[in-house]
Amino acid sequence: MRHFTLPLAALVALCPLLTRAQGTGADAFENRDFITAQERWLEEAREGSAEAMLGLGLLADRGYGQGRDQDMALDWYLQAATLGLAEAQFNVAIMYDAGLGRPRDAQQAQLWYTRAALRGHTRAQYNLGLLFETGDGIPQNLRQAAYWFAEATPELPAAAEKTISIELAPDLLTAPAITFAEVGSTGIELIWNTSAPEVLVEVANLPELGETDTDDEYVAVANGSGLLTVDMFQSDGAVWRVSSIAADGSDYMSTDWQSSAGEVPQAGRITFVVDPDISGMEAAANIFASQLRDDGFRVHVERDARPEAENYYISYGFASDLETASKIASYLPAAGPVVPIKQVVGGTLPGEIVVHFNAYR
Amino acid sequence: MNIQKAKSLMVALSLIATPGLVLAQQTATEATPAVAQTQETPWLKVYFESGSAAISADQAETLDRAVRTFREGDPFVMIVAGGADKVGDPSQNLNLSLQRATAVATALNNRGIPIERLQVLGRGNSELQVATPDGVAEEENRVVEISWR
Repeated sequence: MRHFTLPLAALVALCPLLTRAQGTGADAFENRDFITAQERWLEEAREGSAEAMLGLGLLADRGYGQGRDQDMALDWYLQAATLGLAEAQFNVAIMYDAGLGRPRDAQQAQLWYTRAALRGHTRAQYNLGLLFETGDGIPQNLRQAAYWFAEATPELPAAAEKTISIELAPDLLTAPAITFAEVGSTGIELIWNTSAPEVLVEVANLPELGETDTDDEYVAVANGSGLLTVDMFQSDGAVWRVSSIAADGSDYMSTDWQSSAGEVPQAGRITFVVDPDISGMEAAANIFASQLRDDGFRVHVERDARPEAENYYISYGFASDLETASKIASYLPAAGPVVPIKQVVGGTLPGEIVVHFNAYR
Repeated sequence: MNIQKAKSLMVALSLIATPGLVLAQQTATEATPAVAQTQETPWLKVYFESGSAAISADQAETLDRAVRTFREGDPFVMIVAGGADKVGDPSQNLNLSLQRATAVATALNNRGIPIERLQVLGRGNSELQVATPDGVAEEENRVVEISWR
């Protein structure tokens, strides 16, 4: 066989146009012409094709058209996986999970299974469930196991058969840990570890210098171990964090605010509620808002009619935010010695302080 | 190491080692430590009760292990080969071995291995893991061997 294909390969190599006209690496592979497949895929990979990188990984992994080389296979899989190709991400995960040609790395397996699982890869969802269920090199997490088995269930009978009993022990509130974050042209991908049943994900665009406000904000509740959004604003100035909320909604624990450049501590988030029919109120609020923004707070101004029986006050939702609320109170004018501060559970984001200007009398 | 060599090694070792999945595999890796650490050892065994093709709960773990080593893509193939011990007549045992292999293949498919990547084989009483006289029950022969490439 070999001495027939060699001159053909040489001819093909001398005529790049001929190669292109004849087909893709995938075509050659389907015809079991692995030498040609490799040549074409190398070219396609150079042009950035993730499918070609995956194909080169498959050839190396299986030892088709070359000696078997699992290190090279993983290299190619990783290149394709980094570009977001779910099948390649899954193969990367398998190689780490099974410890092929290298020591087993359960954390990398978890990460890459999750990236593929977020893209709907059913086998990745099931295997991720197994990893969480067995706690095989990572902390066991039956909630996440159940979540991912449920995701895989419509397609895999074995996932449907998994019955996980989760003990309803009172949760110790701990902050999640973000293990992966990437902001791309279509949205954001976040992966985290948590023992909480669900987490709150917040992504915000920070206003550019000079801008007063930006309403670009994304808030979602997630009960899996990752999130992949589409159709979201793309921004270099995006910041994000993940929070676990206590079951009774009274407190939270968060990761720090992070961006592609690392941690970006935020002073806080304030909502001013103003009655648009009270002359001068909104203008006054905007002045305070601008001062607070200079000090790094994110401030939104909302409109709502003055409530009947209340007086001007500041509220916060979560116990941890009392300190921030007090700090903001010190910026603002008060009718008496201080602006009253109240905790009102529900209706606010973690860290959000609400100034009820509209109740000012 | 290729599959044939590995199987001969397994047979040789199981003659001297106590039967049982974990011990047999440990012995295999201890015998050739350098190879086991750097290369894939692509086989697993599922054990069956006498006369039965039902996969018991404790054996299901092996199936979960298999799906955590099997890559996705056209070139990969999973081969499921069933056997039977020499209790009963060879023609029944051929049938039984095929039923066992089919049960394992179905269970693997239920865990996401695509049908088009699977090969199913019934070995009956041919190529026994452990050579025995007729009528002798032997757990090591009531196996389905899962291998892949």
